[in-house]
Amino acid sequence: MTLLQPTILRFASIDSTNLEAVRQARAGAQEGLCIVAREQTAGRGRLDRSWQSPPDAGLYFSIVLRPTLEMNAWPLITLMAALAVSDALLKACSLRADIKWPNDLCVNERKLCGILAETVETETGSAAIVGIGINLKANSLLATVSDLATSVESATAAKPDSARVLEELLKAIGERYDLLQSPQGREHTIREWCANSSYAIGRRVRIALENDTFEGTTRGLESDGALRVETAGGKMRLVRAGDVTALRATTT
Amino acid sequence: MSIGVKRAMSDQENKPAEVEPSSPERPAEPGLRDRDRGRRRHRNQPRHLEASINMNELRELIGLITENGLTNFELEREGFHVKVGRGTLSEEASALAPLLPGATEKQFAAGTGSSTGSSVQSIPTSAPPHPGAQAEEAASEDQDLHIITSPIVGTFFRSPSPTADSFVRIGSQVETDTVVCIIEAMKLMNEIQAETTGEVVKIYVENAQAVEYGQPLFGIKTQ
Repeated sequence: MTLLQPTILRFASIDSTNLEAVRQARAGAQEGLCIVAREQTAGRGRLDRSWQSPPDAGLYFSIVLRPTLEMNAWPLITLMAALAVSDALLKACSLRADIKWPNDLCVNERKLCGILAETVETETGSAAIVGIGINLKANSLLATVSDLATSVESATAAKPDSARVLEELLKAIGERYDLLQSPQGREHTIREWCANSSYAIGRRVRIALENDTFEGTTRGLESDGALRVETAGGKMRLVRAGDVTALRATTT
Repeated sequence: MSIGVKRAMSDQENKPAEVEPSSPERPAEPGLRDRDRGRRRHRNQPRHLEASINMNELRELIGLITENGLTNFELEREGFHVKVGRGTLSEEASALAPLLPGATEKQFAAGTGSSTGSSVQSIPTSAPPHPGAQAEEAASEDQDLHIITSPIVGTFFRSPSPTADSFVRIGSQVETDTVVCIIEAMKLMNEIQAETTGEVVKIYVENAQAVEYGQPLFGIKTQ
């Protein structure tokens, strides 16, 4: 049993599950309200990048959370969500996915799940909306992203059961979220994230920021979830935004 | 006793830094980084502040300002006033605030308008310092601004996407619930609201810039 009590609102088609969750949160929705749609007509990711969401090809899901965490720990919610998806894919599809910092789920460096989290101020307090898009079906992806993306079906060579994935996802979010909000929950979440991500330590990466790009080797996470990257010059940089790309391992 | 990051007058936008320590030998102020005014979930009480600043802290302050791309920073308390500025103007500020080299609100030494680096000058103020007194928000002067600070460490975005319009600009009228920017951290997009009613008169940070906890983002002239 977890403290989170999910309530699901289902839509055949919607602009974006996150937009609907934001609207619901502003209208006073309680923690645990979930939006699930068979299709998104304006699915989006970070900085309004689009997220392809054709009918029944993926799980398009958003949840309203009202964390009691201190504000500086709220970014850990996105790491928590990635862990929850990882749990759900393992249980529902026997798929072990990697977590790319901070919250993409990948198989063979190809993304199969993206998470977009945002905060909103509402009359009943601050809320966090966590949107999760999981590519389920193999032929659902447009050619433009086929080199970068994959699906659960492609990765497992089996048709995933969407209802089962959702069921396990709700369970996993409940557990991971309770854990995050418990004493030592932050440290625990960081540890778990590191244990489930090949990007946590010793990975050669390129970091693309809005106005800067650099390379280095990952050296774990800060307590707020920031990625520590050691550059060639030995300088430690803390990454809290931007895109991470894995580089081929060097022989050194 | 008052603490406030004050509106920098438009005619001083391009001046080098000025500082007015009332007592340069005073012990260090412990919390230069702790200038969060307290908002959203953290409505902190104003912290104990001593009415002085030493050279090391001043250097640190200038370093922070340079690092973070701020163009103006001003801190005033009873008996103490520090103001640091850099030569780079945001395009909006320069468009809306043409330089008027002669006119100043205080007796600052004439600026050179140099656009490189920061410099510092000291002018004593008349009011005696009250070390140990509690800081309070300055509300008496009409130039005092409501400062919107960053509630977390992250990246500042002025618009919802790179191609979209900014949430607000210099001169925008804001209401309490107007979204003024997003601070991104670990892909959590934090919506920041004005939490006051007024006009945006200062934008202290550039788009896509890294910001610290408590760093001033906007100055709002309240009504």
